[in-house]
Formats: sequence, C-alpha cells, structure tokens
Amino acid sequence: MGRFIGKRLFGIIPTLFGLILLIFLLSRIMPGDSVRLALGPEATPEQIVAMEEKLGLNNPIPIQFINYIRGLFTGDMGMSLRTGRNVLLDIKETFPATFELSLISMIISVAVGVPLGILSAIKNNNWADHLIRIFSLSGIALPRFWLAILLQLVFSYWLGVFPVIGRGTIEVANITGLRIIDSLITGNIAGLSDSLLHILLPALSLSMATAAQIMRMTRTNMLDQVNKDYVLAAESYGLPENLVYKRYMLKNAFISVLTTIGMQFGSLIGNAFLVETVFGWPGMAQYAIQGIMYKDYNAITGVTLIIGFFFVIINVIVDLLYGLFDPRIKLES
Amino acid sequence: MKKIIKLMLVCVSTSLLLVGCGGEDKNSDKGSSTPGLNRPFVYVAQQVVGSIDPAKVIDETEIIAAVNLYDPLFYPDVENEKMDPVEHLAKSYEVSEDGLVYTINLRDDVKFHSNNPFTADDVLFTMERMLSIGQGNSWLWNNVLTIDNVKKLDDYTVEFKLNNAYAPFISSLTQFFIVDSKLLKENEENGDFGQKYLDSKDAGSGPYMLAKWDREAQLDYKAFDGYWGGWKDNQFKDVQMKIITEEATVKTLLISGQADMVHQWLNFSNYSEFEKNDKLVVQKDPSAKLQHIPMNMQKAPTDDINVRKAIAQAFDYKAATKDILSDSVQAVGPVPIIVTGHNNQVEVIDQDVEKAKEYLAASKYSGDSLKVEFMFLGDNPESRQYGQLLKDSLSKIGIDVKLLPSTWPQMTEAATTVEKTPNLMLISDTLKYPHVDSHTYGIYHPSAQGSFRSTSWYNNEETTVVLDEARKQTDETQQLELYKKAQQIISEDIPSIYVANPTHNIAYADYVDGYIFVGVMGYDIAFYHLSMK
Repeated sequence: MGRFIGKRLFGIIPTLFGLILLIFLLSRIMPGDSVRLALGPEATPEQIVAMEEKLGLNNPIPIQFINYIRGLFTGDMGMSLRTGRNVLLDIKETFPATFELSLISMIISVAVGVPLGILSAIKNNNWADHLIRIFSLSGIALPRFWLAILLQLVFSYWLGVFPVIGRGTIEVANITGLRIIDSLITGNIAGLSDSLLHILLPALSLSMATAAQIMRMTRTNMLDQVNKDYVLAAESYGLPENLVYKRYMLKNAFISVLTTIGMQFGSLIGNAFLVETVFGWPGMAQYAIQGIMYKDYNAITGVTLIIGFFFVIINVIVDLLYGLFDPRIKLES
Repeated sequence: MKKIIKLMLVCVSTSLLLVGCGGEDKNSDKGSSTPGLNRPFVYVAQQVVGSIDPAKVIDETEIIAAVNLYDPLFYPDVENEKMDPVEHLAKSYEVSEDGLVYTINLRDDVKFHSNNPFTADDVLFTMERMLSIGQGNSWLWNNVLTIDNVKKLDDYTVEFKLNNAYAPFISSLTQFFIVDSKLLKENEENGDFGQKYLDSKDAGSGPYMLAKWDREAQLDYKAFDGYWGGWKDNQFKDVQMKIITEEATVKTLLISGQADMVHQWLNFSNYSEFEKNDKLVVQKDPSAKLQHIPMNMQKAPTDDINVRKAIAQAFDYKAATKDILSDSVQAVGPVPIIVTGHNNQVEVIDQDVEKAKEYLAASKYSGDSLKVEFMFLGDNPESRQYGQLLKDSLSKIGIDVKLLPSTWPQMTEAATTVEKTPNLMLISDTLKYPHVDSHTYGIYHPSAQGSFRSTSWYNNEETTVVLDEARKQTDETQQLELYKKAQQIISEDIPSIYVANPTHNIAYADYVDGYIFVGVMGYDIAFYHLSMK
C-alpha cells in the first residue's frame, strides 16, 4: 500500500511539470502587454523597463521558466502584477472558500445522486424512474450560472430566506480557512448556521449537474448488476432485497461511480468560478478572472497549478479507494 | 431504501434547523451607528481592489479606497458641484510668475489615523515615495519634479520647484494622497517605503479607517473619530464596499434593499428598470468621459484627411448616442463638455452621407475599394453594437469594415506602435485629472503617443506649440484660451470620430442624501459626503 501511494505520488511530478510548462508558455504568448496594463496607460518606458526587470520578464522565456520552478520550491509563485504580492499568498486567502464550496457541493451531489440512482434502478421504467431521469437530464442541461441566478431570485429576493451574497456575516475563528469546519471546531453554533445559510444556494447550484452525473452513473451500473448470477443466487437464498442492493450490487456498481466522483470533484473547483461570481463568493474566481483580464502571468499560472494539483490528488485518492470496494484490485500491482 | 430516504430527510432537517437557529436578520449583520440604518451602508463596486497603497492606486475602485482612507492636498470642488480643485489638506498656495515654483501652506489641525500629526514632512515623504515606487499616478509628476526640488520651508509650508511649467500641477494634486510618514518609516522593510505594510493596512488621515479587507469580496470602512472635518449624526459611519461582477446579483442586492448604492457600469437597461422603482433614485449626469473612435492618421487609408472626414460624416451619431448609449450627449470635440476650458465653438459633425461621398471622392484613394479595421472590446455588448453600426454606416459610402473584437490587453498592445494600431479603435477615455490638459495635451501631444489614449498618432506641430505654450501660461484666462485654440485645431484635423460624452448613471436608495457627481474618477464615491435623509 505504502509503495503504491509513493508510486502514485511520484507519478504526479511529471504531470504537474507538464501542466506548469504548458500554462507558463500559454500565458506568456497570450497577446497583450501586461506590465503596461498593470502600471496604467501613462506609464513611462523607464517605468515599464524597471517593472519588467523586477519581475524578470526581460529574461528569455526558458530562464524565466527555470526561475519560476526554482521559486516554487521556496513557496514563491511569483509576484502578481495586480496585487503586487506573492501569488501563493493571494491563493492562500482565496482557495479555502472555493474548496469549501466544492466540498459541500460534492457532499450534496453524492447524498442526492447515489440514493436517487439506486432508486431509479430499482424502480426501472416506472413513474419514479422517469421523474428521476427528467431531474437528471435537467441537472446536466441547465447551465450552473443560470440555475444560480434562478435560485438567488426565488430564495433570496422573492422569498428572502437566504442571503444574496457572501460567505457569512458572523465572525468565525480562522483555523483551517473552512468556515463550517472552523465553527464546528470552536463550537460556534451561530457561525455554523450562518455559514450553512450562506453556502446552501451556491452549493446547490454547483452540485446539480454533478448530482445528475452521479445519479446516471449509479443507475446504469446498478442496472448492469441486476441480471448477474450472484444477484440471482443471493435472491434465491432468500437474502433481504435491501441487503442485496446495498451490500452486493452497490458495492460492485460503485467502482465506476467513484471514478465519476473523482473526475467531477476536480472539475467542481473549476466550475465553481461561475457560481462564485453570481453569489459574490470570495473564492478564487474573482482572482482568476481579474488575472486573465490583466494578463497577470503568475496569477494565471498559480491558479491553474492549484486546480491541476487538486485534480491529480483527488485522482490518487480515488485510486486508493478502489481497493476498498473491490479487493480484487491489488494496489501493489 | 427507506433507510436511505430517512437518512436524507434527517440530514436535510438538521441542516434546516441549524440554518434556522442562525436567526440573524440579513440586513443587520453588523451594527451601524447611523440612525435609521440597522446595518453598514453598502456600496456595490464592479472591480476587485488590487491595492490600497496610494502610490499604486490606478483603477476606479482603488481610487475610491484612496479617496475614503486618505486626504489629498487638493480636492475637487464638490460643494459647488464643480471638478476644479480647491484646497483640502492645503490651506492656500502661491505660484511664481514663471509658473515653476508652487508654495503651499498646509493645514495644522490634521491628524492621521495613528494620531500622528500631519506636517510638511509627510508631504515630502509622500512625493519621494511616489516617485521612487514609480507606479500608480506617479506619471503625473515624473517629468516635472525631482524629489530634491520639493522643500520643507517650515512645518506647515512646502515648496515644489518644477523642472518645467506644468499648468495642471494643482489639479494633479487631487491625485496626491498623503501618507503618514512616521508610521511608514517605523514599518519600513529593506527601504520599501512601507509598501509591505500598506499591503493590508492604511496610513491615511481620511474620514475612514480600514476595518477589514477581504481582497476578492469586500472592503470595510470605519469612521475615523478624529477626522479634521468632523462628523454629523446622519453620516454613514460604517461602510462596506462589496465587489460583485454579476449584474443580476447587483440588481437583486439593490432592489431587495441589501445594498444602498450600486456602481456606474451596469448595462443601461438596468438603470431604466431602477427608475421604475419608487424606492430607488437614478442620477444621470453628463460624464467627463469621451467616447470616440480615433483614426490612425499614419496608416492608409485614414492617413488622408478626406477619408477621415468622409468616415466622420458617414457615422450615425444619433443611433450611437440614443440607442447604444441611452440618450447620451454627443461629444463636442475632444474635451468633455463639463470640463472647464471646453471649447463649445468646435464644429459638431452630423451624419450626412452625400457630403461623406464628396469627401471620399476628393481623397487620394478615390476610386479605390477601401477597407478599414475596427478594433473594440469584444466582450462588451455596447462595443459590439458599435461594430455593427460602423460597418453599416461606412457601407453606405462603400468602405468595408473589418471587425476586430479584442481583449483589453490586445488593445493596449496594439496602441504601442503605428503599425500595430488599426485604422479605427473604440476608446472610452475618462478625465485623468480635473483639468482640460488631460484631454488635449494628454492625448494629442506627441509625448503622449504609444498609449491607448493616442491611437490616432496625431502629430501637428502647430498644436504641439499651442499645447506647450498653454502649460507654461500662469494666467488662467489666457491658459484656457490656448487650450481652446488647441481644441479648435485638433478638431479641424479630424483625428477621431467624436461620438459622445456618455451619461454617467448611478443608482441608490431613496434615503441616501448628498450624492454629487463632479466627473473626477472615484470622487463621487466619497462616503463622507453621503448621509441619511
């Protein structure tokens, strides 16, 4: 097991290196003079040259790349042209909000998607199945930002039960950066409820499509299992239906669902941007959007790197979880 | 399966219970010491604040932060609803006859948020810091001042000796926000002039102190009790500036009463919708902004004045000002009409297709099949409408328009050389300092070339001489006459299609009093001037 984890973690390095190289090059060949943008239209040529020297942009691109990689080892992701700070500092401030939103969305997606998928498979082709499939199709088809605006309009503006924007208004001690976890750790019930109140609509908007994907995958895989011999055998032994579904069928069907969950979790962090914009969620969205608009090289590379890093890490975790559901998968091999 | 459903119900009920026991009204998230408002005053801005360091501020939201946290030496004349500068931290000033030496007397009753007193040392330090860091608005003084030429005559008098005459010097000091030199020197790291300290704190004497800054979402201000201007009961003591980019969310916040004022950059249709709501006020003012289409005068075919005249004459100004810009005022030359020194005698061109055809026939390209490139911001709906309008207008005189929807970085890059600059570009140019010089010298003097402001690559020796002369002139009347003369010459050269001075819209709740728009970027969002009715 240890060897497997080590091997997988070692395998991350070339993936991340490739990602950094790609984003680094792309951000630098994008048209536009970022230094001039950052310094303003009236910046003198001397000011522009001075700033380029400060950022090392006067060096050839390969040297810039080596310096960037070297900086990463010391926690220096380069200076943001817009904020004038180390990009790592900026990301450290904004990433927890995005991560918390993605995490809660994933919990909702699994909590809704898996049971509904099972129910849909069990009630195959009756009205409940059709209803769930309509829900699933809508979840995939409706754009997240549209759903976000709709939920905001209904629940925040018309009904007034949820706040329109923000992450919370009650002060919560900052321990992990995740407000829900921090308020649980500190026993701050008011902070916890305030955080839940704020996160519910953004998380629902973000989770709909993911829940639908998980549901469809669960349904399809459960249906694949229905006619398998072991299910017939279990049923003929008189095992309770519930036990057959949960202990035998779901366990076998869950491998592909797990892959979907892993893939979706990585993309949730990226998809969170649209929802964050609608709900004024103080995550990485604004930082990334402004970074792109200002052609802030280091900010663009930093954000992409963090998203890519989590994508890869989540995939490693999913690989490890495969063994739990299917002992035939020998991690050592 | 029933168990799963039961479990889901339990989870949902627990969440709802927790949510329910949060029990705090969304409008009372924080106390407020303003009678009649049970929460802080909320202003919604459109752009993230990158820096609150007054040596680096450049965008609207950053300048709003500076205006509220800091005091400049001079301030637009808000009381008289004019943009012209009046003394603020300065008490009075004198100018030498040659226009090179400015002696400024300072107020002696000002304290910084740290309780350090404001003195001439702070002015010297601020200018040294500004010129050394070389960012933000430092370009305003780069070519006219060296730090050795700024002298302290006594604790409350400073002397600025300019390298060359600079008529808008006092106006430029509206962008000169004074920092607390003692505090920053105490917090200096490796000679950084306190840059690291100002990454997350303020060092000003302005009406508000920085209470909290959540970089990507919100900036909170708290009234500075020791402010030299004093406070009235109905002013807003706690203010939140929230950053929201999604228009639908901005609308919801204002209409639902969770915001008190929203920014000027929404789509025009939103303000029309707000106007129908009797609890909201939409204030419309002609802005100090010029929306124009500069024509590259050094690139064919717009290098020919007759082609430029033909294009300007063929353009549909009515559709642009009424339909695209929702009843804005047509521009009269390069200087916005609300700016002191604007020349209202400049010829205003209206659409006349026949006349346009005549100009085209008189050009050196007569008989040629003409094609021009038009660059604009591709993600802006109004800019896209401009593209269609221009294409339609010029097709009537046989000129084909190639549309180049672009990003802002692409546009600034294109402005750097004559070759990269397309024939036509759509530019919105806000006044950089409250002086006519901004839209004359700042756009049409050869020294301004290479930025997005000067994509016509205008170069007329006569205009240059007049503009240089205007900067040297210390008599205000004669100075303004020279700037007017420059506007006349520039307009006759047709370097641009002068489209409009777009209407400045802003919407706020009907209980908000004191909003005044004077045209200088960021100064209308000085929360100190606002109060409850």
